[in-house]
Parts: sequence; C-alpha cells; structure tokens
Amino acid sequence: MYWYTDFIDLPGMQVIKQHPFTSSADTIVVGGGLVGASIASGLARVSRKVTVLDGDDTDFRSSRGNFGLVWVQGKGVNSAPYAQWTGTAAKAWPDFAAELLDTTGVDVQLQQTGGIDYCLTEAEFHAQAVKMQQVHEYTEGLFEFQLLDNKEIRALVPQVSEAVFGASYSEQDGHVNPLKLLKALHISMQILGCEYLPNQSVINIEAQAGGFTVKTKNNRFVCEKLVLAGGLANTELAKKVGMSVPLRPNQGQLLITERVEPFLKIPSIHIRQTDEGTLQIGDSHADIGYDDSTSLQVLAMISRRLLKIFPHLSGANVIRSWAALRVLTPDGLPIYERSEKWPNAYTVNCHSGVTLAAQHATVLSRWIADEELDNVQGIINEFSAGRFSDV
Amino acid sequence: MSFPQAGLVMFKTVCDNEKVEIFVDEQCSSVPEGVSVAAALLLLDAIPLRHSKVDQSPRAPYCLMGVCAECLVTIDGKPGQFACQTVVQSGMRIDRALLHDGEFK
Amino acid sequence: MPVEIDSHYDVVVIGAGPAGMTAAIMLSEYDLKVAVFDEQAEPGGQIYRNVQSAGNVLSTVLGNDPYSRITASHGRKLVDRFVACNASYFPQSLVWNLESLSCIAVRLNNTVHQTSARYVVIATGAQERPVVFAGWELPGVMGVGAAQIMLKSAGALPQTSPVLYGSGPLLYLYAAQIITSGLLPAAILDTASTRGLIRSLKYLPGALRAKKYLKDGVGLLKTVSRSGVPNYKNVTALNAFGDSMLKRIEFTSDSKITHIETELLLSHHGVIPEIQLLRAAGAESDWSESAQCWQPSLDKWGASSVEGLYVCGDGAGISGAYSAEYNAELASIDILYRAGVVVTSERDRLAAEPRVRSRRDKAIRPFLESRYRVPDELLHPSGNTIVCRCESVTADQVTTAVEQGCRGPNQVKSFTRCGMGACQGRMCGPTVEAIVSGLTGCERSEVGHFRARSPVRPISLGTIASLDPS
Ligand SMILES: Cc1cc2nc3c(=O)[nH]c(=O)nc-3n(C[C@H](O)[C@H](O)[C@H](O)COP(=O)(O)OP(=O)(O)OC[C@H]3O[C@@H](n4cnc5c(N)ncnc54)[C@H](O)[C@@H]3O)c2cc1C
Ligand code: FES
Repeated sequence: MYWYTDFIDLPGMQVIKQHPFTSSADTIVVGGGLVGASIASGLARVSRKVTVLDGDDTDFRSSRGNFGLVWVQGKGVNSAPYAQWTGTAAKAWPDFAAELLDTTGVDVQLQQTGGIDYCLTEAEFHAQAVKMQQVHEYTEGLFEFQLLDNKEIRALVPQVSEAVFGASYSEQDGHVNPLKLLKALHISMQILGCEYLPNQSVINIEAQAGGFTVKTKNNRFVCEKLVLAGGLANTELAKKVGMSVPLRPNQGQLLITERVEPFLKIPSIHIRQTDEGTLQIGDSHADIGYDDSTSLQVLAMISRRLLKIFPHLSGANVIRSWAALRVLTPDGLPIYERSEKWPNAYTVNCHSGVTLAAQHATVLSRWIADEELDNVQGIINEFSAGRFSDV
Repeated sequence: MSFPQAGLVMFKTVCDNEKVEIFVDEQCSSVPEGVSVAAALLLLDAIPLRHSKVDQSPRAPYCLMGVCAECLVTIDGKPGQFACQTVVQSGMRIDRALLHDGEFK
Repeated sequence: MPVEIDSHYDVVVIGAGPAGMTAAIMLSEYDLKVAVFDEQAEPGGQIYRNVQSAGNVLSTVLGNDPYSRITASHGRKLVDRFVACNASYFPQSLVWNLESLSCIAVRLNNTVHQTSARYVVIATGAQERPVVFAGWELPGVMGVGAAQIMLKSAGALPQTSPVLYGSGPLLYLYAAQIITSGLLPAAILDTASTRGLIRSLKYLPGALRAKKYLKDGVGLLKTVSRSGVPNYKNVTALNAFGDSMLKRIEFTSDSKITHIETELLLSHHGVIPEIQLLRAAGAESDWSESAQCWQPSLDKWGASSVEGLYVCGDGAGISGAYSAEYNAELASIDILYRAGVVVTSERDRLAAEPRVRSRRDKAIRPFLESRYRVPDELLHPSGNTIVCRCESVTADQVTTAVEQGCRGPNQVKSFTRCGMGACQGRMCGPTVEAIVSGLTGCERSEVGHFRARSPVRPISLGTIASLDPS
C-alpha cells in the first residue's frame, strides 16, 4: 500500500490531489532506464506487482545516449565471470528480442552479424591480440575470435582503408537499436502490469521494519521491496538503505550522421550503421565529472579517427553530437547487491545495460524476486559491492 | 525548359539581373546571379527538390532561411547541402535528391 | 574582407542583421577587436536581406510601396556603416558549435576554425513559428517568410495567386507588397480569433506610444481591404490536399467549411527567437506565455546566464528591426563597461537614449501578441498530420509516446525519432511541447524543450576533421 498526492494519471489525465491510494504493488523500482525497465519487466513476468519511479526528462540518461552494441569482445579482461556473464547474455539475446517483439510489437533490430575492432597501427593490433587471447582462455573457449589482416578485413567490409593495420573479429558481437530497446522495455513492462510514473525523482528513502518509504518531490510511496536502478544516482540512494555503491561518471561523446546508403553490416566500437541508415560514430572516454557537454576537440578527434578507417565518409553530414555519462564502478564490472542491513533492498548497476538486458530481464530479476537462487549465486557473490570495501 | 516532375511555375522573377548558367540534374539552365540555389530551383520549377528518405514523399523548400532542412540537395558532388543557404555560382552542378523507380540515384 | 580568422577577439558577434551590425559598429568604434560571422553572403539579416545588391530589385517590384522604400533606405545606410566599420566581417561563415567563449567553431570554406572571445553577442534573429496542419509538407506549401525572401533576394513573385494563411504583421505586409506590385492573393485566411482581437484592445492605449507601427499597420490593412481580396476570419481546421503538389485546401471559417483550389499556400504565424546556439552554449531560456515561445533569460542589458554571453535582436525576444538596434546598443554598452572601456556614469549616460527608444518601440508588443495570438487549437494537431517533417513523425505517434509514459520532449524524441532530423527539431519542437502539455496538463514551462546540441546545422565529417588538432 502506498500514498500518492498530486500527480497526473494517464490515460485519464486527471490531476489527483492528496488522495491516500492503495495499491497491491509490492516492489518499487527506482529508475526507468535500460536497467530499471529490464528489471521491472522481469519482475512483472514472475507476477510481481511493480511500480517504476522514473526521473525527469532532462536527467542524465545513458539509456538515451548509448551506442547500442551487444558486445562481447574484450569484455572481462580482468574477470572471467564477467566474460562468461556477457557471453551468456549475448547468447540469450535472440530469444529475448523475439519475446520483446512478441509482447510489444517493437522490433529492436537485433543483428548479431559479428563485430570488428579496428586497429590502425601494428602496436594496437598486437595489444588487441593479447587481450583477446586472454579472454578466450578465461572463458575456457566460450569467447571465440579471429584476428584479421587488412585484406581479410576488406573482404568483409570493402570500404575500409588500406591504411588500417588489422582487426579482431568475433562472431558473437552484434548491435540493436538502443532507443527501440528502451521503448520496447517500457511498453513491455506496462503491458505486463507495471505502473510507470515519470517525473518522480526520488529524493529520500526511509527504511523501516517490513518496508520502505520512498519520497519524491510531491509524493510518498510505501513498498516492501526496493530495487535501486537509478544509474549514477544509486551511490547516494544506496546509502539510505545501508549499501555502499561506488560509481563514477565517465563521459563518452558520439556523432550521428544523416541517412546514407546501407553499406555497413558489421558494427565496431567506432561506428555502426543503424537500421534507419544513419551512422553512429564514437567514442571517447573522459573522467570529467557530471559534465555531459560535447567538446570540439573530441568531436574532431573522433571524426579524424573514423576517416582513417572509412575515408569515403568524409562528405557524410553530421546532424548531431552528444555526450552521455557511463555508469562506471571502480573496476568497470557490474555491482549487483542485496543490502545486508535491509535485505529487501537491492541495487543493480552496470555499464553495459544493452548487452546485459537479456540477463537483467530474466535471471537477475528472478533472483530479486527470490525465485532463482542457485544459478546466480556465483555471479551475485562475484559482483557484490563488498569487493570494494577494503579499497 | 522544363523538369520532368514539375507542376506549374510557382515563382517568376520580374528583375533583369545578370544571368549565370548552372546545371540542374545535368541540364544546363540559366538563373539570376546572386540568388540562392533554392530560389534558383524554384524559379526553374525544379520541384520537388527531394523525396523524403523516410516516407518517399516529395518535398520542396519551406522556409528559405536555413531552418526547415527541406532543401537538401547535392551541390558540386557534396550531398546534403542547404540549397537556400548557398548562392548560385556559374557552372555549379546541382543534383536533386529524387527517387528514380523507387530508388535514390 | 579579412582572410584569416584570428584565434582571439575581444568580441565575437554572430549574425549580421540589424542587431549584429549595430553591435559591431559600436564596439569597433571603441577600438575593441570584433569579428562578425554570418552565414549569408551579404550583410543585412532577414529584413535588410540583399539591400546592397538587390536595391534595384526592390525598386522594380515595389517601387510604389513607401513602407518598403523607407525600410530599404534605412537598411542600406546601416549596411554601409557596417561595411565601413573596423570589425572583421566574415560572410558565408557558420558558427556551428558554441561550446564556451573560449571555444567557438566556425565553418568557412569547408574548413573549421576555432576562435575565442572575451564576449560573445548572439544576434541570430528569428525563425517563423512552425504551426502544423495536414498536408503542410506538400510542395506548394511554404512560409510567407520564404515568399518574401523570393521577393527580396530574387525579385520574384508567385506566378499564381497564392492563398495566405495565418496571422501577424508579416502576413499583411507581404499581402500588401504583392498587391502593390499587381498580384492579388486568391484569399487571406486569418486565424486570429475574435477573442484575441477583443483582448488586444486593452493594450491599445499602450501601443499608441509606438504610433509609427500602428500607422504602418493600418496602412497595410487598408491596402489589403481595398484590394477586395476575400478575407476569411476565425479560420481553423485547415487541410491541404494533393498528391505530388498542393491542389486544394479545405478550412473552416466562422463555422463554415470552404474549399479552394490552389497551387500555392503561404503560411505565417508570427516569428519566434532562434535560440539553438544559445541553448547549445548552455544558457537558460524562459517560456513566455504572452509571446507563446521560449526566450533567453536575460538581464536588462541582454546578458545571458552564461558569463560574457549576450543576446540581442529578435533572438532575445521578438521586437522587430528597430528594437534590434536599440538592444544591440545596450548590450554593446554593457560590454564596453565590463571591458573597462567606459565607467559607470558613462555607461548610464550612453544607455539612456537607447533605453527610452527601446521601451517606446516595444510598447506595441503586448498589443500585437494578443491581437495575433495563435489560437490553442492550431497548436495541438492530431491524427496523421505530420509533426516532424524530417523524420515524418505524425501527431498520433507523438500522442502514443505520451501515453506510453513520455513526459518530456526529449523522451518523446527517443521513442519516436521526432526531432532527430537535419532541422534539429526547429520545426517540430514547439508542437511536440504543446502536445505533451495538452495531454498531461503540465505547463509549457515545466514540459521543457529539446536539448540543443552542436552542430547547429549539419556539417560534414571531413569538415569537422579539418580542425587543427593543436
Ligand atoms: C521571414 C521574416 C520576415 C520579416 N519581415 C519583417 C518586416 O518586413 N518588417 C519588420 O519590421 N520586421 C520583419 N521581420 C523581423 C525582422 O527581420 C527582425 O526584427 C530583425 O531582422 C531582427 O534583427 P536580428 O539582427 O536580430 O536578426 P536577423 O536579421 O535575422 O539576422 C541574423 C543573422 O544571423 C545569421 N546567423 C544565424 N545563425 C548563424 C550562425 N550559427 N552562424 C553564422 N551566422 C548565423 C543569419 O544568417 C542572419 O543573417 C521579419 C522576420 C522574418 C523571420
Ligand atoms: S528551405 Fe528551409 S532550410 Fe532551406
């Protein structure tokens, strides 16, 4: 049971003021980004009554600013379980995409046609080879890859410049349309019965025996179970329920062009062609705090690097650039955590919310719903925030 | 001179400016000096300027002041140029972004 | 004309319309190092577009129209003073990225130049307010502004009698201009409501302080009414039809449905500030309910919320070409003061006259804003009327996104692609905001607006890559 006051209800659209409001919802998910929406729809699928409290239109939303890769290459150089978790997620994607299409009618445009990581120089190429081999060994062969020389690359993508030294290629990589994914997850969770309440940035949480009181600007909500999926906001929110979740924003800048003739079937971390025909071009990494403005030098750097790989794109017009903030933990791996002090509070944090969506919406949600324990316990132990406690 | 997809002539100039020759879809045409490419195309009745890449519908300049992006054409080989923000130059080659048998050239 | 863009200026002025030219003239008189960037090939901005080269065009077409003659002669003088001043003027240069005062990116001859300034004056003017209706994407439908640009820049008149739709001074000015040159519009469809007319009367006494405008306005209306052109009032529910071109329109006037066959429909609903660069620079804007648009948040000198960034002219809030000069003077005076060129007393002395003039000139705005207020129903399209021309997104699709939980334009954009095209949301933004506001009951100021980002105009990868890495 929870309260709400003064919010606008769709589709009736009437403004309701100061009405005590009873709901059979038992779980509140804070955050309606890719992670929150994946978890909410996963919980709803196992018949939990869920309310999603989402923030404002202009909040930092990496779910609206990401690159859309379902990416395995290089994931888990420092962690075998992460490499495995990612590999399993990529394998689960076809079924997940089919199910989203089935429930929502939205085709998220999953293409798992492999992915290429281009290396401009010989040195880059050797470093890449070492990294890939390491992940291959970690995963006991679950992650497979090939190294390509220039000729082999151009057999796959003829437009690539002869100046590119080499590349790594993995069949397991792919991409989706991330905005269609966000939309599909939102539609899906609502079809499955979740209540979605936007413009409800959570400003405080009080834990008491048997549940939580969650406060937003105008409202108070009460729930039994709480899942924090507020991206970078989780660090602050988690403190209120006895968890320590160290996160930092890491800025990435991207460019998008007008629609061009389809030519690029295989995505890379630098460029992919969307199902609409536009080219999404990235990317950069900068630890500059909560700053999501683009910078001229970075945009120029991204363009120069891209044109070294695809010189024929020099005339393609950039329509927009943007910067978004990655949600990064100190070691770059997810944090999945259940509060020791308030065991009904959970938090889910990760950088690769697209790739891992298939896992978050299934096994991880079932773990939160207390329906799946054995299969994931290893992962949960591995990705607990406890690993940072001595730092 | 007329263009295949043209309707009636929408605009007509009453001035006797000097003329320059430009090529529109490879046809040599004479237009007043100093006008924008979009104005020139309107005067030549080379309408539509483009077909929408999203729904294939025919489009023509709407604002002539660089706001609406309806006037994107290829100028001297460069695609996606704002025709209304570009002044015609003698010898300029302009290609409209039109569908031919359901495909962009 | 200078060939090289320097790496630093005291002041960078963006836009060479009346506002930008005035600022450049004044600041360079005080020996500040000023650069002026403008995308056009010639100075003058919208109103004095091509006054230099096209003087003969206007006299040929509009020889008899005293209003246009006076405007042109005032403009020519301003342009002459601008060309003679010491500011470095770069025609055909586009400021496509305004990250901060120390990072201003200019495209000139397909190359990117980076420059910086102690002060930046945004004088980028206005755009016509996009008001959508079914069929507005058909060839044969254009802005009245576009038709006037054809007139000013190419001396071109429609070949067929156009239908004029909407309201506002520009609509009647253009009607009068073509009537004077011998072309009668087929009809004028006026959308201003009778309620607006009545409401505006209470602002009439204030407007009397700007007598010249009232007199000009009355003159225009007389020209139009004497011509006998059918003038439909309280027009709503306009639909445009045609396959590859406009063929026919249908509308309701005073509750009666009327059809007209026409091949040219010119639409105009007033103008709104062009504030894409301002927003990309991170400066704040406020929703103005009376002007029905977003306006930069400015102090009385025109300083924005970003230190050192000023806005003047129509980009600061619609007030017309003369006011543009006055508020450009005020911004320049404040810059001179902050740069240590003039002291407080000198600043206040210099500012006295432009301030009085500006107030007097703006006295007509409340009257015009209520007289020509766009009726709400025109701002809330429905069905498969296209809202976003670039991405062909319909009103229904926007409505569905709101029903799916989108509460702001940016989330709607993510769900529908509305606003993702080459116009950067300039043509659909106001409509999306209005639809969200209408469906949720939230005020426009709360609904917010699209986030603006660089480039403010599409620019090629090769051009961006051309930036000197140092
Ligand atoms: C279509 C139209 C018709 C009008 N007709 C009349 C009229 O008949 N009478 C009247 O009193 N008022 C009219 N107005 C209003 C009048 O034009 C303005 O009041 C006046 O021009 C404001 O001056 P400004 O200097 O602020 O802007 P503008 O005159 O618009 O000048 C802005 C300049 O900035 C340039 N610019 C913009 N962005 C960039 C960039 N990123 N980089 C480089 N350059 C850039 C533009 O090319 C333009 O030259 C009209 C407005 C419009 C839109
Ligand atoms: S006609 Fe609108 S941008 Fe060129």
